[in-house]
Order: sequence, then C-alpha cells, then structure tokens
Amino acid sequence: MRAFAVGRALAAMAVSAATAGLAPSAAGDEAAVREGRQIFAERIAPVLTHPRCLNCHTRGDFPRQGDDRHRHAFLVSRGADGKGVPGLQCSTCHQASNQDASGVPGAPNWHLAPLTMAWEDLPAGELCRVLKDPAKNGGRDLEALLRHMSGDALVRWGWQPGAQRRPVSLPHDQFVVALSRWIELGAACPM
Amino acid sequence: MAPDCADRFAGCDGPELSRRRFIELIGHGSGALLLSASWPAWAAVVDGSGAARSGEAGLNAWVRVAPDETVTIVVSQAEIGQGISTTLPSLLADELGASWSSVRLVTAPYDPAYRNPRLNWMFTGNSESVQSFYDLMRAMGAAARDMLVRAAASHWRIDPQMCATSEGFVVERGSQRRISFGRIASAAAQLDPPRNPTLRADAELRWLGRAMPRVDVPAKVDGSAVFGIDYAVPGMLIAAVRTSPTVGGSLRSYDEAAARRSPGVKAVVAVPGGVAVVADTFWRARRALAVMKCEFEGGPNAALDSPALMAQFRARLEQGPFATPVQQGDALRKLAQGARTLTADYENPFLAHATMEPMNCTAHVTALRCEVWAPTQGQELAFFALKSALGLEDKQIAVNRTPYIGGGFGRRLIPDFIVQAALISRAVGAPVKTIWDREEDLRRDQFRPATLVRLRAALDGAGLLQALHARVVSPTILLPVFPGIAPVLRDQKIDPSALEGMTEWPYEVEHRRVDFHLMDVPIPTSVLRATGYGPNIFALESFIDEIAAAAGVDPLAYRQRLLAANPRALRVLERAAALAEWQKPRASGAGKGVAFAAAFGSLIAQVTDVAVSDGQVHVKRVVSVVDCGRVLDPLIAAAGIEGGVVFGLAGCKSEITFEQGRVVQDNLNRYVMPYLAESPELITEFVEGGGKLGGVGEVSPVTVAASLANAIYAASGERLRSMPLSRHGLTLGAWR
Amino acid sequence: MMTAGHRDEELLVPTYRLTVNGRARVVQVEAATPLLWVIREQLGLTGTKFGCGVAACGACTVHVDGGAVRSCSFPIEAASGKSIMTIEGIAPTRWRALQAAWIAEQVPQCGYCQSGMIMSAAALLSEIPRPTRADIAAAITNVCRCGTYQRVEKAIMRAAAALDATTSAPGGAAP
Repeated sequence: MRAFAVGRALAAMAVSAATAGLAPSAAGDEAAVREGRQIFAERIAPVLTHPRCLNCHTRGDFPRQGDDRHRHAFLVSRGADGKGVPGLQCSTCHQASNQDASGVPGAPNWHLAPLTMAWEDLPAGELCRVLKDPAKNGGRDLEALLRHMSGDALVRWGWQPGAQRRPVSLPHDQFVVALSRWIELGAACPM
Repeated sequence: MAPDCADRFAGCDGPELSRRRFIELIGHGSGALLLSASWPAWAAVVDGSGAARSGEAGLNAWVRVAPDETVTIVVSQAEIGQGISTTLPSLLADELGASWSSVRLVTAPYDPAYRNPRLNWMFTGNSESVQSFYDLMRAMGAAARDMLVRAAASHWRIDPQMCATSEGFVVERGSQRRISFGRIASAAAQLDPPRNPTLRADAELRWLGRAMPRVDVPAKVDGSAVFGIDYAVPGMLIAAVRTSPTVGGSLRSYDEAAARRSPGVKAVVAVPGGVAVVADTFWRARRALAVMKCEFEGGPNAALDSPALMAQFRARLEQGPFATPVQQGDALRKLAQGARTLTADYENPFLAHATMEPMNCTAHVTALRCEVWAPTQGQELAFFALKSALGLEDKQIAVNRTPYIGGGFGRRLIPDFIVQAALISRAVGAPVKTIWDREEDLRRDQFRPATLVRLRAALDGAGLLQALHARVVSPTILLPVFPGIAPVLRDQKIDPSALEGMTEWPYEVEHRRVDFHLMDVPIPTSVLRATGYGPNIFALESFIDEIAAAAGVDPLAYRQRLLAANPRALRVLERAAALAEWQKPRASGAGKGVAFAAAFGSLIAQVTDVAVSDGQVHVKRVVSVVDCGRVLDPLIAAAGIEGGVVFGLAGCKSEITFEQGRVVQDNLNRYVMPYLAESPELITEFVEGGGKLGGVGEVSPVTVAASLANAIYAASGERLRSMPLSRHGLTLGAWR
Repeated sequence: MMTAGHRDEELLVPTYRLTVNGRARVVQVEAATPLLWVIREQLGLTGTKFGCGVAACGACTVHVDGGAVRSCSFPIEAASGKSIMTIEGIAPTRWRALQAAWIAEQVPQCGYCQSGMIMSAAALLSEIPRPTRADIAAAITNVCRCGTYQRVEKAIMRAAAALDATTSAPGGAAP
C-alpha cells in the first residue's frame, strides 16, 4: 500500500506538470514530434505490450496468461462485457488483491479491456492511434488517459502482479513521467 | 468444531439416523425426487464400526436383523464412485427378500471375513468386486433367508418348503400368515447356517439387472457426505506435510522457531523425507509450513529429467535383457522370412492419479493402540503396513475405511499416507488428521509408469497377419500393492500387470512372441485405472490400424477377419460400428477410429469420432459397446463406462514429466484434466454375451488412446505413436 | 474492509462477521485465511471441498453475495459483512431443484467435485434460466476426475426445465 501512495503522489505531480503547458510550441514542432515518437516507441509501447498489460488487452474471446502469453487456462472467456460468462465470471477467481495463498492475481474490478482497446499484434503506430482515439479508449482525452494510467488500480496491478509474475519492466513512476512528456510534446505517433 | 456438526462425526447412531436422513431427503421438495414408483427406496451409507449392537441378531458376518426390522448389511468394498456400495448389498438383500427401505449399510472393518474370496485378501480394485463377490453375496443372502425360513417354519410347525420371504417377511405360501424378520431373527440366529443354501431363480430377483438408485448419491449432492478429508474425532489436531520435491531427496533445514511462532501450531514432527506441522486447523498448519522455509537436499535423483530417463528406456528397448513370457509358434523366423514386415515403436507417458480428494488419513496412535480412519482401497495392506511400522499386535490395530472416498483409481491401495499419518499421531500423542495438499499429492503419487512398446508384424501376400513380436519395457505396476508378487519379479523378471493385454490376445495369429524388460526406475510406479492394459492396448490397437492400412484394408474389416472365430467379440465390434455409423461418409477433417480389447474379463469395442483443424482435436463422440457377461445394474455400469472414457481422455491430454528431479505438473493448473466443454458425447451399450461376469470400472479407459489416435489418423493422416496430444502440437478442443 | 472487524488487543486475531446460509456467524481468524478453510474449519461446514488450492478445479465453489466464487482464493477479510451460501444452504432455496435433478440423473460417482459443480450450476442458472449446451460448456469448468460431465449437463437442463415450469406456473415465483 505504501508504494501505491508514493506512486499516486508522483502521478499527481506528473498530471499537473503535463496539463500546465499542454500545447507544444509551434517552432519546435518537428523536434517535438521526433522526440515524442521516440518516447512512445521506446518507453510507452513496451509497457503497453508487456505481458502484464497485453494479457488482458487481447483481441480475441479470451485473456492470456504468463510471459509466454498462452491462452488463459480453465477455458475462461470474455463474455458480453469482458467480465466472463454467466457462471464463470472473472470475479469467481480474481479478487480485489493478489492472493498469496492460491497464487491468483487480483486487483479491483478485474476484467478484460474492451475489444476497442485490444492491443495484440498492433505495430507501434497503430497502437498509438488506438490509444489516443476517444472513440476507442473509453472516451478519454489525453489528460484523462494520463489519469487512468497513473491512478487506476487495475492498470497499476501490472507493476505489483504478485507471486512470481514479472512486473512491467519500466517502473510505474517513470512510465507516468514518459507519458506526460509525450503528451507535452504533442503526443505524436510513430508512423 | 462447531456444535452443529458434532452429530455427524460421532459414529453411526443406527436406524434412527438413517431413517431420519431418509425422511429429510424425502421431505426436501419431495416431488422433485422423481423416482419411478417401481424403484425401491435407498438406504444411507452410514459410518460405524460395523460391530453388532445389542438386540441385533447376526445371521452371518454380512447381515444382522434388529427387532425394529432394520436389516444391517456390511459393505466390504470401498465406494470410490463405482457404485459398489449399492450393487453388492442390493444383491444380498434381494436374495434375502428384505425390503430395501429397511436396509442400513455399515462399512466393514478390516477383518478376514470381508476378504475378496478369489484372492483371500481384503481390497477393492482390479475391477473385480462384482466378479469376486457375486456368488458370495447371493450365498450369504440365501443362507440368512434359509435360517429365517427355518425359524418361522419351526414356529408355525410347518415344513420350511411351505415358506418364502418377501419384503422383510417370512410368509407361508398360500395363506395370509406371515412374520416379520425382526420378530423371528433371534430364533433364526440360533440355528446352524446352511452349508449349501439354495439360491432363488434369477427371475425371482426383484432388482438384478435393474437400475437401483445409488445409496451414496443423496449425501453427495447436499454436502453431508463425510469424506476422509472431512473426518473428525474428538481432540483431533491437523497436520500438513512437506516432503522432498525431488524423488528420494531429504530435508536439510527448516526454521522450526518460525513454525512454532505461527498461529495455532502445536508441534513440528519429522517424517521420512520431510516434516509435518501439526496445528489446530489445516490452514494454520499449511501456513506454518510456508513460513518454515524448508530446504531440501536434491538427493540421488536431483538431476533426473524425462528426456534422459526415456533415453534409458530406449536403450533397454534395443538391448534388453528380456524375459520371454509368450512364445507361440516361431515369430522371429516368420518375421525374418515374411513377405512384408512392419515395425512401430509406441510410447506411453507417466500419468498421475489426481483423485479429486487428495491423500489424507486420520490416525489415533498410542503406545498400546492404533486406530485409523482412512479413505482406503486396501484395508488389509494398510493393516500389515501399520503393524510393521508400529510394532503392535494384531488386536491392537483397527483400520476403518471412510464410507465416502473422493476417487481411488488405485492410488488408495497403497498405505504410505496411512502409515505416515499414524507416525505423526504417535509422535504428537494425540489424534491427528494428516492432509496432503495438491502439490504433495502429485509429487508423492505412485505414477502409472511410462512404457515403450515395439511391435513387429509379418504379413503374408494377402495382407493377413502371420506373426507378431512385441517388446515391452515397463517398470513394475503390481509390487507396491501386492508385495507377494516380489518373487515373480525377481525370478521371472516380469510384472504380470505390465503384461496385461500382451499375454492373452483376442486376435487369431499363429506366431506370437512377447519379450519383456522390467525397467528399474527411481520413480515410484503402481496401478492406475486400466493398469497394464492401458499402455499395451494403446500400442496394439494403434498397430492393428497401421497394419490394416499397409494391407489396404479398412481397420474395422481387418479386425473382423482377426476375430472371425470369436462370435462374442464380433458382436460387440459390429454393434459399435453400427452405433457409430462406421460406413457413413466423413467430412473433410473428420475421422473415426476403432479399438477393441479383451480386458478385465470383459470385451469392449470403442469408436471415436473426431474433427481436427488448426491443431485442435474435437472429440465429438465416443461409442462404447461392452460385453461384461451380464449387467447387474445398467445405470451404474453405464456410468462406469462413460466416466472411464473421460478418464482415458485425460491420459491423452496431460502427462507427468520430470525436471531436475522434480515433478513438473504439481498442481491441477499444470496437470490439466479435460473440461466438460472438451468431452465427447458418450454412447454406451451393453451386450450380454452369456459369458462369465466381467469387470466394468477400468474397461473403457483401455481403448481410448488407440481409438483416438486411430480417429486422428483417419481425420488428418497423422499417426500418433505416443501420448499426450501436446507432444504432437495438438490440443483437445472445446467444441460443445 | 476492516470496518466490520476489530482487533483483539491480546490475541491480535481479527474477528469477522458474515452471514452463512442465512445465519449470522462470527469468526476469529487470521485475515488472509481463505474463505474455504474458514467455512470448513471455523464453521465446520465440510460440504465445500479442497481440491487444489489454486482456483484451478472449482471444488471449493460457494456463492458470495449471490455470485460464484472459488473460495480457496478468497480471503476471509473480503467476506466480511457479506452473505455466503454453501452447498449445505441449497435445500431451502429454489436450487434444491438442482439437487433433485442430480439425484434423478444419478450424476455423482465419487462425489467429491459435486458440491462445487452444483454451486457453479446455480450461478449459471441465476443468470441464464434456460441455458444452451454452449452456455453450460462455457460456464462449467469444474474438474470431475470421474468424468460425470455428460450427466452434469443433463441434470442442469433438467433442473432448468423444472424451475422454468415452477416459475411460469400461476403463483410460482423463485424465492
């Protein structure tokens, strides 16, 4: 819990820093675009496509598991709302926190990202466009996106996955900083 | 223990309890019971020492009658899901003429009176309970009937021939006069039992060949069935155990102080190969095990891994040495001369029992007495193992079997978990229930062994099978459950169970030879449902299909030729083909596979329908036609065949492998069993071929791997010579 | 949430209040204890079974506030203040139709998995009163080593039909 509190404080700082001067300067546009693309490709995309995130941002009818991203065991499937099917909901096994006793991971509101947020097999540019598109990302503008990535408990699970699962490689606070910087630079997408 | 549960554990209260439960069950939405009026009612299987209570008149070791009309029948065989606790008692009660609603069942203690008459040993296994006890159950029921009839006839001063029994009464034929069992039983018990009791004509039996509602089912749907893991005795503690993850490793160190600081912990006890924590609850014991940070020495098998192990099997397959238990004609010469020869090697994996209820046992051991309550299939072996481990006298040891057992499959024949529990109780000086968690249960299994089978066939110009040479490499199956077989292993260098399916073969072939190498492996191996038939029939029945293909003959037709002199076999084979619509044209990617076996005294023909695409095998339907001589209970027999198919499918889905000395698949998320969504539609039919009674429980898993492999070949052209499917990049598909 | 518990100053073992099969219960047990073991050991209700401990087999399935949960993976502190139903609590509810169907179809063999099966089936029927075979296949992933799946499916269909007949009859309503 302490780590979360610290992270939240950092995230809050990052959000205010990002929203302070959102529109990038016209003169440094080209450089900003280049840097922004680089940040996305090198810092942000690897997080979004890390197994801890990608395993629930699937484009099929089921989640995945493990660093080898095999199909989630027990034949669980997406269901109508990403929460499983009647009789076998995500919440049947996944609770609000990781369970050491059983090794089952958990976080509040455990469920699959909607199909519009499916990130599997997307090249970096397409991933970026899908991420930014309010029609696909749950109606979020860039500020809301940053708040979601920095504060949402299910998102943050990726960094404290429990048991012997490998957390997302880039520490969460650095991820938030990278996101804010990318947004500050105009949120350019790789080609 | 919460007070509302205490009454469940105190032992049998007798007929009041069973009647009360019966009435409770009737009372629960009685319209929903949906039993046909002609079905007899059932009795609850109750726990209890099996000892007679005061007032009961014992007519023989199996049946007692109380003045209140309760007919107590002893259940000798372990109910592991096969329905035996319904079938055998109902056979006795039927012969006796009791009313089923008056029957109370008690679990047999360990006693020579309850031994399997064929082997003179008390155990449940080998699919032979019905075969071995059928005559005895009828004889005991008839004997008790005879005594009741003679007592009543004496009371009425008439010829016993004038009397019969019906629904709990002795009746005088042709009159209204009757007397209830309860009133005449004491007098009957004074009489000498008849030496050769007359059995009823089969036509007189009410329940033989009809579906009886199983006595154990009601308690299994309302949570009241007390399995071994649920057991409790007053003052009981619970133990969790951790032994070396590697086979033969040992405990190097653990933080005992951390365990003792853990909530609820009462004791920490060394056990062979590991340590047990004893606490007031299982969870606290297991939690303490985790904080103890046990460290193990890898031991002599720390480097064991499956590839190296199978390389050893293959070396033995090439070089032997071999025993040759079957030599019929001159197979080697025929193979050397033959117009055509075919050779194929088949591999079977290690399999785990993975009973849904993990191993456990409740033990109360003092300096002078040992009493255990265990979900066991092998009371007699447990008795002797305890005697040996504890150094007690016969009369100081009591082995009680729990009436509900969460699966056996042969694992519960082995007394290791019972002896361990007894040693823990003795060390602690209190009653202790020892429970293995799933990891412990899978690591300490005694696996169905991996085997290699090389088959060579000589065909003549017409493609007919002239000679067959089989070479089998297998570890022992029998030794852990039947120590008496040791001389055979030592002197003849064979394991009879590992040769099942090979020593006797139903097909006509003039020249046949079987070589066998008894493989020595550090991994414990033993019986698992289907025993030696499973691995051997996978090889043989796959090979028959390969031969048929080489001969350009349909696999069904090829078998019909080989079975031409065996009308019983032809009947099951042809019926299975008909039910499976063998001749029907197949869609692309779909295929049917057939397999036939004579196993456990029965004949089975099985046809599997699959569709294969994108590496997924959809097992759509499995037709099984079985001739087990005669079917005592069609619904129970069908359940055994249906469930056995799914069990066989599990052996095609998952296997046990070893890495750095450890079992890799140490929980059910890695040793994955088939799901409902993957399981086939099951069509099951019985043919009564008029032969001797055969077994049912282990018959259908025998042919699954081969009929599946043959179906996959038909569907995709790919021939699988090993299981599971994952070795070939295939998976079971969820198709329902 | 810890609001429903309190710390015993001497033992430091928290107390939790929950409703189990309609009865208010109080247990004092370590916070991380899985609900499965509280049900079995502190409450003495052994109908809910331990099969794997890693939420892989479903033998431990109970209902928490009406939803199916694999209780081996559900900590007691999350159950605080909630309403739990176990297999022992089925009989007074409409789900006894499942038990009756299980008996009519003679589903159980060894029986160990069946408590969890029935609880999973009840969770399915509470969402889909007339499930298709595909609904059943998607919902019921409980492991049965004895292979009773075909009869499980039949029994669910049978119970669904019986419940449907009850609720659509005049005056019939699910409790």
